[in-house]
Amino acid sequence: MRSRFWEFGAEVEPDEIVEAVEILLEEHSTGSDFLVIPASSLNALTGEKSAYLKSRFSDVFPLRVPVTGVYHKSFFVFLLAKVLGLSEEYTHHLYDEGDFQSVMNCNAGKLGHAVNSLEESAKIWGDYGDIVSFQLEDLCDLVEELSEGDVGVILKRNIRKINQEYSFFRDTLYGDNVFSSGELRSAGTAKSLLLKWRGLIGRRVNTCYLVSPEFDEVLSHIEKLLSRLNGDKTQINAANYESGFWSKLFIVTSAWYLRLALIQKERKDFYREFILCLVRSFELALQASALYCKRAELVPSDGSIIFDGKKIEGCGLYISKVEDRKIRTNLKTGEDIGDFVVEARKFLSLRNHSSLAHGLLDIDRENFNDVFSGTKAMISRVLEPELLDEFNFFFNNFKLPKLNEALMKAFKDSLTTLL
Amino acid sequence: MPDQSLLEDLDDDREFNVEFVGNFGRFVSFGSYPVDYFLTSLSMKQAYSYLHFARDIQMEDINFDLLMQRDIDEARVENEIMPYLKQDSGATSTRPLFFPPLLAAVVPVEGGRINSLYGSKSIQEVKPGFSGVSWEKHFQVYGKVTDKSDGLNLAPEIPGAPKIKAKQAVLALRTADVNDGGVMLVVIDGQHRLRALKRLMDENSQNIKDLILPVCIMYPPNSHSGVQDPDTTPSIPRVFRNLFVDVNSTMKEVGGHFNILLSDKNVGDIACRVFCDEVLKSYGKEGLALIEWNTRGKKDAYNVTKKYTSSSIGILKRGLEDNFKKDSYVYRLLKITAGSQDLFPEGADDDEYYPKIKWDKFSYAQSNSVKKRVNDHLVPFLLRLYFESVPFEKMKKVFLDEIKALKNQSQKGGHEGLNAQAVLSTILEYKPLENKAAFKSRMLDFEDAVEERRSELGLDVLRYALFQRAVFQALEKFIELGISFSVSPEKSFEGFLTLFDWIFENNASVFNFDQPYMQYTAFLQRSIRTREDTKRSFSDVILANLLREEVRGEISQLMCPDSTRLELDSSLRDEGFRAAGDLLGRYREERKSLFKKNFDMDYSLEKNERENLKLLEMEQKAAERQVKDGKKEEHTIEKKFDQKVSEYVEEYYVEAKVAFRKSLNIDGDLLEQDDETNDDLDDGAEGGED
Repeated sequence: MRSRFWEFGAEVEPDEIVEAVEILLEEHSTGSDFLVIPASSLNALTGEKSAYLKSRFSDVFPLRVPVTGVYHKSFFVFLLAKVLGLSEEYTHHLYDEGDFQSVMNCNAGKLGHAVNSLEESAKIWGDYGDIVSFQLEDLCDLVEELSEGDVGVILKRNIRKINQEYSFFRDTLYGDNVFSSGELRSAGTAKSLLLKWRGLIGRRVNTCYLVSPEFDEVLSHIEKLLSRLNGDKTQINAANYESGFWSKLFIVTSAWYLRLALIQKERKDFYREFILCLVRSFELALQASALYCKRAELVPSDGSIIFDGKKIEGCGLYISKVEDRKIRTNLKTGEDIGDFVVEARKFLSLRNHSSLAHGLLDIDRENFNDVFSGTKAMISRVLEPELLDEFNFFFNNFKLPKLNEALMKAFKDSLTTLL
Repeated sequence: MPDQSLLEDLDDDREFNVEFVGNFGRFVSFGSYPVDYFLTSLSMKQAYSYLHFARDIQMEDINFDLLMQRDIDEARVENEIMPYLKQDSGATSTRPLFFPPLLAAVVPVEGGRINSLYGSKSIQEVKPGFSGVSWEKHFQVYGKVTDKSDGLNLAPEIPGAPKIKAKQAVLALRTADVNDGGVMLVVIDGQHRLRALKRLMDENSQNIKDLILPVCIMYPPNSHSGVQDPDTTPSIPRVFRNLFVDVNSTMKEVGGHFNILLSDKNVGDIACRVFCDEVLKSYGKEGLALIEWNTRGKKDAYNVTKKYTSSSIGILKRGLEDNFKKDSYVYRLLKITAGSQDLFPEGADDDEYYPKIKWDKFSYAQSNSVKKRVNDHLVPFLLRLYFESVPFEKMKKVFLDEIKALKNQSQKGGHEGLNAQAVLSTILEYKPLENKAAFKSRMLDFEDAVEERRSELGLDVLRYALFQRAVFQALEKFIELGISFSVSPEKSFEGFLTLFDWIFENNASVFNFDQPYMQYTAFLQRSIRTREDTKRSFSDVILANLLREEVRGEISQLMCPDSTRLELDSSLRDEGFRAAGDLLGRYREERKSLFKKNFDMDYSLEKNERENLKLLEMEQKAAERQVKDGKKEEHTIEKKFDQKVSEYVEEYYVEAKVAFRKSLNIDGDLLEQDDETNDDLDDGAEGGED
């Protein structure tokens, strides 16, 4: 059934409103009728009359700010229909000199189509896929071309912000972190973490308005953490490798890798890297534990990790340290530890036999979910409560709202400009 | 010859227990209030026990005068004076060191408090041929009586007072450490030098045991309880306060807040001083700790610099001075009329009682009355604003809760107790925090806790000096408006507080930096823009809340319960529109100028947009150069860059406007005061005419 919007464009006397509505609904009633009316007109009605109106329509939308111009009006109704989740086949009627007249606007259809196709693409390729990013930019252009009035400007700004935030997320948070080979070789694990996150926070400056407050909180946390790891406030690149906060930065990065694995999984064409990300996440969680219980230290020159005075590298060695109880973890009994070690070694051998390590084959996509949740469970078992809380906080918030949700929010926010 | 045995008896109950020999003198110039002085020298040992810092006096009911005097800049002691005295030993034989004399005041102390006057003054013959003046139970100065012309009269106002040889006088003191109700020698100039010396004595007295210190001891001889009218006699704390400023301001800057607190020269400074006094009386040390009053740096004096405080007297001074300096406000706020007898007594000399009082112009004789009026009429406003208004009250509570936690901890003893105690005495007693990691970390914890809770309550904006000054600016609008409706300043202040409280109860997020309209007008990203316009913006945002009908109604009812209420209501509404319009206008201007400056670094624009703008800018500049060189007519060039910028800015502007409207939560267009809407439907869709 077609939905219909009935609009009183300007202020109308209360009696006339009621009369017009009575005639209207007597003539044809479909059960999916919406009323748009200036808030001042609605407020001027008696309680009885306004209750009557509300009872006759599926919903009533009082406009708190006058909408001027017929294109502006029809654009507004298009957004309303979108937010209400109605099909595009609605009709829009404007009250004029005692009668309702039909309003036509085919542009809105174009916009609706673009939004639908973007949402479809996101379903197929994941929210962070390249195709989705191109389509999002196209949508920005289209909104720019079609939007009307203040509500249009706000929609345009909102969609741009989504695009901006998604591109920050895709290109900066999960994008390439490229350094010269010299820099790369000279950076120990801790230092490379510092470079990554400092770079990220440095580029955050221009994204002051974030679509997702949770993501914003994550970044603020990291910023605070980084300031605590800075040994010398006058030097941007100085690091205090003695700080007790390093385990936290390792945890942040571990959570980030796990989320990256999930994104790779959704992007589907990157399944080879999926397993590597999981191993890195796992390894960083173990390193964080070693630093947290103060068994491991960082070398002041390059931030690499030493254990009992010796540099150690490789996930397997950390598993041995857990086995020897040299790293304090949340695993309490010998049995717990034994089980954990067996599972961890199995997981590691999966990585070692895959094509980007020492083998030639890769894991079947159908096993993705099992491996992912297995890794997450291992991390949850091994981390001590305080670290685990941090880990979960970061893992849960290293993401943006789903693209379709973000778009819907953008529509809603634009509408509240007037409602 | 008195009976020897009588003297021995007296010895046990002598009036004075310490004597110094030295030179007596008097400082009077053009009829100034006389100050007598006594030059002498003290061994380090004597100095160590007789010379005091004002802060040595511990007391429950501390008064602000003393609190102020006793503030010592430990950093200066440690970094400048002690190193000077501790020149490396190899060079000591050739490197001379010297300090100018310390200046110490004879201060009467009773039960730990400064008395306002000395005991009554009388002439006494101390022993044959020796005569002097004594201030009962406090001190005595005497010398050999002489008739020669160079002799000094110890008390010229007393008929028949003896003249003595000034160069051989004795100063006898009844010291408070032995006799309660006696006097203390409190160093008013040179307390940093003394502090350095005492610290060196503590470290190793051997190194300075041979030092004999030059000291000048001073006292106002006429401030004693025997005077006819004690109320008009300058009190001892007051005399020393004046001298403190004069002595210090001619030598070097006292610095920061002390210049304000120690000045009697204008209403603003007096208000700060009285405000601190009253805060201490009403809210105790904890209350005073919320107000910064002892910052020495000039720049810091006008900002909130500590993490746990709510304001600073520098802000108060500026807030008052910026807005209420006009004569009409001075008269209204202080309730001064032409007939105010305390200020303009009939038949008084115009030089002694100025016929017209200004913010910074009144006579010494009038200053007490001004101070009283400030105390009665102005300071109650300030106390309510800073301690009872909704946001500041919350801030106070956060602080007091954390102080309470510290106090509880300090009573538990152990290391934690010690740490808490150290932090408490830094916050409440202004003693420097010892350089110990555990103390520092406890202090940080305290500060973090206060900061975090304050943030949660949405009170961060309060801590900006510019915001607080904006509060005064908005208050001024209220008082101004009140005047045109014959509303008293008290009522207008109530009206303002109603608005201020309402905002922080219902809509505190209106000031958030992430509100688009707050960007550029007051903030750049997360940082505040430190300029006067920011103050205007905050004030406009406060006043724009007048557009909210419910709070406006409450205010107009409160200020004008009579027939003029509606008129006032509509004036308040106009003010709200004015404020909103000004803020948005400022947004547009600022956004435009910063956009032009920074667009090539603005990553919210696509790369091609930035490049396109750059191109247009270059073209426009080239064309403008040609106009300048006379190669083109001005009207022939197209300012495409400016046009493009305007297009962008228009978008941002709409965003700011919409956000502002939403955060004020009002109907209608923010900038169109008229409720009638112009519907531009070409087919005339305005129904309802028939």
